[in-house]
Amino acid sequence: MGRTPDLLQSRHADLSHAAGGSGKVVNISGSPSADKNVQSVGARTAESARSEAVVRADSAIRAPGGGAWAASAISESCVGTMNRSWLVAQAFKPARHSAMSALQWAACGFLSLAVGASAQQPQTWETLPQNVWVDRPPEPLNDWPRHFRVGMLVGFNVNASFSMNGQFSVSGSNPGDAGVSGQNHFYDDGYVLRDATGNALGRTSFWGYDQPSQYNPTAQTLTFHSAESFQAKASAKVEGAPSFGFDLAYGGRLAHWGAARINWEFGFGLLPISIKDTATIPGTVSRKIHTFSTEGILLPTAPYHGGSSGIGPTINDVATDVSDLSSSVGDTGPGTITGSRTLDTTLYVFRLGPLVHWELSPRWAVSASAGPAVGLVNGDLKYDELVQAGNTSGINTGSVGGSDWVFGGYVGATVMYHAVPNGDIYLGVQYMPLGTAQIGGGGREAKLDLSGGVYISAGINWPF
Amino acid sequence: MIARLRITTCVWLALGVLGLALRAGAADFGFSASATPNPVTVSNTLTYSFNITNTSGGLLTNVFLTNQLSYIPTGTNPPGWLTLGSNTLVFQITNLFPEVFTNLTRFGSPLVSGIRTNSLFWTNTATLVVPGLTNITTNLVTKVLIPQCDLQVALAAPPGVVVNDLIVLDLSVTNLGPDTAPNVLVTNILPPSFKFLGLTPAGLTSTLTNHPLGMSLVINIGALTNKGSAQLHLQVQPTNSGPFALGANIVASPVLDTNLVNNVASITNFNVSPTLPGELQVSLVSTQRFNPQTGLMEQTIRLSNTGLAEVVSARVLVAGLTNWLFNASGTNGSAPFVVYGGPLAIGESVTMLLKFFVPTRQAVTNFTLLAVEVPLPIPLVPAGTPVPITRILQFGLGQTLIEFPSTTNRSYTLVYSDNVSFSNARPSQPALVAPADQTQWIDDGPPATSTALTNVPARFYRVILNQ
Repeated sequence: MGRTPDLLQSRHADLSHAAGGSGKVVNISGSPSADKNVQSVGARTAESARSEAVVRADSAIRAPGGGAWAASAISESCVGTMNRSWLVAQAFKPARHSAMSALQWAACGFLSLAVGASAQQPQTWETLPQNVWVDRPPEPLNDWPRHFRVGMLVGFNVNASFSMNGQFSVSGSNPGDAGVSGQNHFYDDGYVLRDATGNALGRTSFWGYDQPSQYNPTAQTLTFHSAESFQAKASAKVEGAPSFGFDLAYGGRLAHWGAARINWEFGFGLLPISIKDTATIPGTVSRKIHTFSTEGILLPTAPYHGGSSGIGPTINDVATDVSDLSSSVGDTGPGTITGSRTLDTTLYVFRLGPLVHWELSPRWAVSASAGPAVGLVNGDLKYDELVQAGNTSGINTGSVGGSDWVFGGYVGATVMYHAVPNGDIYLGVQYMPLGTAQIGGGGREAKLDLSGGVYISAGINWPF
Repeated sequence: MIARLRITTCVWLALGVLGLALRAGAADFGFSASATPNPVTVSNTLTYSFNITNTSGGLLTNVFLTNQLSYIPTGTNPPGWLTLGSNTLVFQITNLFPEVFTNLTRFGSPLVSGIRTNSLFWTNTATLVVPGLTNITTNLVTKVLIPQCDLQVALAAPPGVVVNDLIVLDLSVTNLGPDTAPNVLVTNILPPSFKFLGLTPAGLTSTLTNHPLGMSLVINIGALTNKGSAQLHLQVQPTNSGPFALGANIVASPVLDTNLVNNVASITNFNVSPTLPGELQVSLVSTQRFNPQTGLMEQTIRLSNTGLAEVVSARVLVAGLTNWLFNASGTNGSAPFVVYGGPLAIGESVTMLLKFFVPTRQAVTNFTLLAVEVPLPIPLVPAGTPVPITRILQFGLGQTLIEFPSTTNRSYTLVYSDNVSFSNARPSQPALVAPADQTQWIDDGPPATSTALTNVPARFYRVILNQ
């Protein structure tokens, strides 16, 4: 009785051959192979057959007076003498089922006794049986209680709408103060900065301008512009390009009927989504307009960009604010906002639901699933704009961060190819409406529309 | 029958004894030697292999293997080898059994130094000495691969140098290839009356050695790649007048340079002039004022020939200045100077414009002026890239503004001539460093140009981006 665990394990192997029908018996002693005699017991799945067989084996072992020798017959006496699979299968059938059962039990008993007797003697190489059957590991059974899969995820049909409404400051605006010497002035069309002399005599060589039109030879002044703010009201909807991320899923079996199984599955997907709006937006731009005296010099030809050495043509470094006085362009006027606004986010989505699985063939299977899903959208609304007014443009960059939850559900279908034992390749598609996530602030807003999201995933599935 | 058998036996025995004797007396051993790799690259290990096969059937004793090298081996002897003299190594085989004896040994790596003009070969005359037998000698010749380079050096010195001028000697070194030259050393020979003041680029290792006949400055450039070059600038000060010989040479170690002609450069008659005895007077004409067009403080001076002879050329030295004489052509001692590059007749005067960079843009007076006669300088038009002139504008009294696109901080030279063919082109003094991406240069007469615009019927300009 002390060998029972080994014997039980041996029976498991034997029964898996008998039930699954995919096991092989290899004759390494030169005897004719028994492959052709190994047959499946029916259309049951390997797992169910194995479970059933194990139960029966246990019963047989526990049978008073007969279990031990019956088990011995299974494990040893059948070796090389007859069709072992047949014998095993038959040996565990209840004896009352057939009159033949008695004979079979008797045969097994006889064989068991015979082998048992021989087992009392020390086994040496010379005394080993002439015919030895060694089992190969069973082929994949396409049956598993759990699975885990990982793959690439591609998201489609994810859109975004951008809107802006209000007054916005221009981030790159730094025109400095008028009426003060020694200041640094940055403009959309030039600069007037402190040179190496510290603007001695109120003059600087560290200045530059872009357009000939900035020079007024009559007044001997240079005019500089700096867009400080703009008003705009606009919205745009942008269709996103396919986004690429990854997908994880873990599931387990709830029930099974033949080749079909009911599983549960929990999935996680991570999908970076970046959608850019490049629409040109009309607006009203307010600019700071400064003039500087160029009296006393022959102005270098535009564009000119002087250095900080203090050597070269110098201009007066005190700005005069003419924003309110300018009648030709005015300090506030029509303009355009070009550049881009980008919704740069990451979607983290979790889903949980039932999954129906069909084994179509030894190699192919399909599954369908559905259930609730929840997503977290986290990211930034970035803007990189040029605020144009007249023939100058100011740089406006920045970002607004945020996150938002979205809720919905999913339905999906997956096809799997059993490439290797415990290794599948899968291709799946999901329709997962999740609603709309909103990120924005300060008059800018972007909505990520996930209501029509379709996701294709492909990767590797491990059943275990 | 028995007697016949005995005779036959004796004959066979005799033949056997004779055979043994002949066998012992013949060179019944093999000897081979090889050197690998061949050719061997400098600093790589050269390995000699020796195979001695005793096929005599008997024991050979006191076999010697000698190696006569054409070089002095480096490092310690391999086990079993003894050195005789400086370049002979001997290995003794006390008992050479009937077997193959193999010895593998390394007699160092080729450590070649200096510059060579032809290929280098290492030889090893290996001799196997077996007592009683004829020596066997083999000669192993190994070519030593040395980087092949054609090193070139050029030396240039400024013209019109006067005693105590601070001058720059330009050294241009080039490796014409085809290999990278390691350990490049440039040696500059300076006369004893020259002061060495500095070297650019900074950071190069240099050694200055004084000799009775002068100084040698050895500059370590390191490796110079194929087609690579380096520009060196030596700041020196000649303290005596006279003709001097300047020289430079370039070496690398180890290299194979079959063209040594261009490894040496010299200026055999570098003339350092004394100041001339002309009597000159210099005076301030105007006060110093800020020019917003240039960002400089400007002051007009007058230079007069008060002597009894024509002055061929003159310098005005500005001594005691704590600021920057922007349009200085050079420095003598500690005084920057401007040059009037033409003759000045008896009693003749010329006005010159001094330009100072003063950070406060306030007038400064803490300087003194000194005028001296010097030999007529013959400034050379530098080589460089022509730059288009985008604007020429006459303004003020006899002034012309030249504007050209520039790269900030690059050096440019304005070249002028009185004819469109530039047959007598002269560079303006000094070269200017561009302060902006459009540079304005003003021809306001001496010292920038030789004469004021009002004194010439026409003047033509070119701009050169200096190398």
